[in-house]
Amino acid sequence: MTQDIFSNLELLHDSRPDPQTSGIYRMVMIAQETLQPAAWELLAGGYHLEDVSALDATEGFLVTYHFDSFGRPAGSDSILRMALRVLVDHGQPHLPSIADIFSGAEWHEREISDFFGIRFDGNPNPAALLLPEADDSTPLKKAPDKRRSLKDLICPGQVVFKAPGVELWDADPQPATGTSRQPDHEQG
Amino acid sequence: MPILSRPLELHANPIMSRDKMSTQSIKEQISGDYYTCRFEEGRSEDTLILNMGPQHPSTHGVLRIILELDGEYIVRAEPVLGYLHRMHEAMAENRTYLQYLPNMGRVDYLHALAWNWAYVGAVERLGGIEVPRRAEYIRVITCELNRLASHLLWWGAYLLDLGAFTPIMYAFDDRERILDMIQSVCGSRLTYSFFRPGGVAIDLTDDFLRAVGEFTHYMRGRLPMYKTLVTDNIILRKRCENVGELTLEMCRRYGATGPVLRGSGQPYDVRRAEPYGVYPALSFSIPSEAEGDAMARYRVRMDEMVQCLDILDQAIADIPGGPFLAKGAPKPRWKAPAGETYFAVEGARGKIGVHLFSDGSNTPYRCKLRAPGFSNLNCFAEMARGTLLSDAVSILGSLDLVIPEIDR
Amino acid sequence: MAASHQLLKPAVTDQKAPPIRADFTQQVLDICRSMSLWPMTFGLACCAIEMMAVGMARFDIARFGAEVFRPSPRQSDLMIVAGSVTRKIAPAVVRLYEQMPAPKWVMAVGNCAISGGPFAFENQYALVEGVDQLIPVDVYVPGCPPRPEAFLEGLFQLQEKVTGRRWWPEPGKNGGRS
Repeated sequence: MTQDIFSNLELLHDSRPDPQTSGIYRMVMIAQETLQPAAWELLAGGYHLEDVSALDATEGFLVTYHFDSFGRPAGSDSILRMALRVLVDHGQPHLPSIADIFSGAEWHEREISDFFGIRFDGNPNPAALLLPEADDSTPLKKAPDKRRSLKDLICPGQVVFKAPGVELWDADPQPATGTSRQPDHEQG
Repeated sequence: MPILSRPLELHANPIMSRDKMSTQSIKEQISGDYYTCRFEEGRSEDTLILNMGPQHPSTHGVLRIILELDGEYIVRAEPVLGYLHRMHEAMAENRTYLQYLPNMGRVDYLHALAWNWAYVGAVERLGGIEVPRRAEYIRVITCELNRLASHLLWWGAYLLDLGAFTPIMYAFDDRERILDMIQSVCGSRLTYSFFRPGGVAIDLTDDFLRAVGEFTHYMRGRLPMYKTLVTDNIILRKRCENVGELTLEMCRRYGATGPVLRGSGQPYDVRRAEPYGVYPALSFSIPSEAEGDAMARYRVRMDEMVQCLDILDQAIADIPGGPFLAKGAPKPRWKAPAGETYFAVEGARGKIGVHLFSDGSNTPYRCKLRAPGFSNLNCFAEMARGTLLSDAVSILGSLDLVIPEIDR
Repeated sequence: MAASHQLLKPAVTDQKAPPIRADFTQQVLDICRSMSLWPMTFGLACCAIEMMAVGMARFDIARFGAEVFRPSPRQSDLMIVAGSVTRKIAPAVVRLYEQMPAPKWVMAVGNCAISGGPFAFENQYALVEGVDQLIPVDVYVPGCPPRPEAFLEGLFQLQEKVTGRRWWPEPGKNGGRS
């Protein structure tokens, strides 16, 4: 049993969603300060940065870093994708950049700045990536009345660890194969 | 009858008559725009700042690369994106699940069916929808045909960049045969919206399966000719070997996938790593080369074309009967159950990911598209440092970029 | 937002008539020009692939004289805008159009270049809904993407515009014979 990659770090929430329905095998929630140490651990652990995306919810912006592994134990076809998540306040949208650790993060972070207005401190080239320069329209940021809570969007699966005081998701989450997964045959 | 239609106007210097030219001042036109000015801040002495694009025959779309050149050698390169940003992620929040499907064909139009698959796969995961076995086989057949067409176009366009005009003619000839077949089933030559959550739109006919069998036989006879004419050609080898070294460690840092990664020695393919569809039942190998240069990536794609033919032969032999669309497939205005999902497929360019969030309504809450070209192009700045300008063209071609998927 | 609208400045479009007018020579020149139009490679998106297909062996635009695709606007007289025009590339489109020497023509190919196409939704923020907001367009070729045959028909319509008559059989009429 290999040592947990985050054994030296302080996590806020660690859970195991169902890989077949969610596409990830592990969801880890951390604070901003833990972001760069976690990235170093993942780089050393042989993970590659798949993407960085953000989600506008009532609790704040949820920035998700997807890491995956190229190498697999022989014959294994299990999903090794991990989601590293950080919650960013709407009023203070700042995060430390991991572009000096995973060079690919520079562009992903610039794209998130374009779409959500989150600033990544330490990004080597914080210019607009996909939008024209000086365009601060932040198109994917939602109006406050259109936002939903993270509780309605994310199913964390089996909770392995929860730091005291962290109430992002229900204490007793629905298992991924429960009632929320039945298809709704709406006759259009 | 007067010969002169208007009096002759003589200007002191017609080029400098500002009143008839665009409203940019001379200073603006010479000093460059926002991105060039930012790029210039880090320049060293005696170097030339050159813009490649956004309109350029060899950048495969509207890609702009600002280069700092020391003679012919590239000191620094910076791609500038966004010239084809078509708001796909914003449109996802404004369209129902089925209305959004045509967007997927336009994200990467060369391998549109892989993006179709990534999206309907994510929707099926969200909704717990099972796909009939025949539909899975139809998906594999059409997707692999599309992959082959994409690789053929890559091959022709790459060689066109390097100066060879013949291969693209052959490539497009083969591609037209594939497009004829796909068009009979998908209805379109290029931007397909053929897959549906729960299956595919219409069924394949026996004529189609027969045509695919004849095509694979024909193509197997063509590929050796391409090898002798092009792959073993000394000019291509000189342009591609030892050009654009990409190490595995760089691939990890940037998240490069697909033939770009497999050309650096890592045989990682989503069809084997996170199997989907009927790929577990099909036997095919994952070509990879260890050198990490443009020639390695070239060879990987040529070998992948052969693998496509193998998969097609197996699939048309094994395809079962049955329905092509699940009974409970979503109707228009279908509401997805709340939740999030990530679905990855192997596209011609690498790992395509669709990260979908649903809040229980009939439009996605958030749809993040993970484009392989985004991460692959990211490597370019580091790969191009210290190379010749003409090698930069070769590197760009070997990355197989399609800018709409990068800009989304 | 001010930044985006600043990018949408239309082109300067006056093309002066030639200083010496001689009608018959003009007509002969027009016929020669229309039979050897040199398009500029301005394929932006998906329609660019169909533009490449029309230049290849099966559809062969070379039969009608327009196979010399020049990357440089200085050497071309037909700008085929094939694909979506975004606000970020609008200044480049205008600049390329202005750099083309007269007489010049523009063919807007595909629904995106005509009116924004499938990407024109309410409150969209990045698209120019139709390249004719920036440059004057002579022929519109609809489709998403249009078939290569539609490209050819667009070329024929342009030739008709330049010379005053249609030179090639109209599909579906007289069994395809003129």
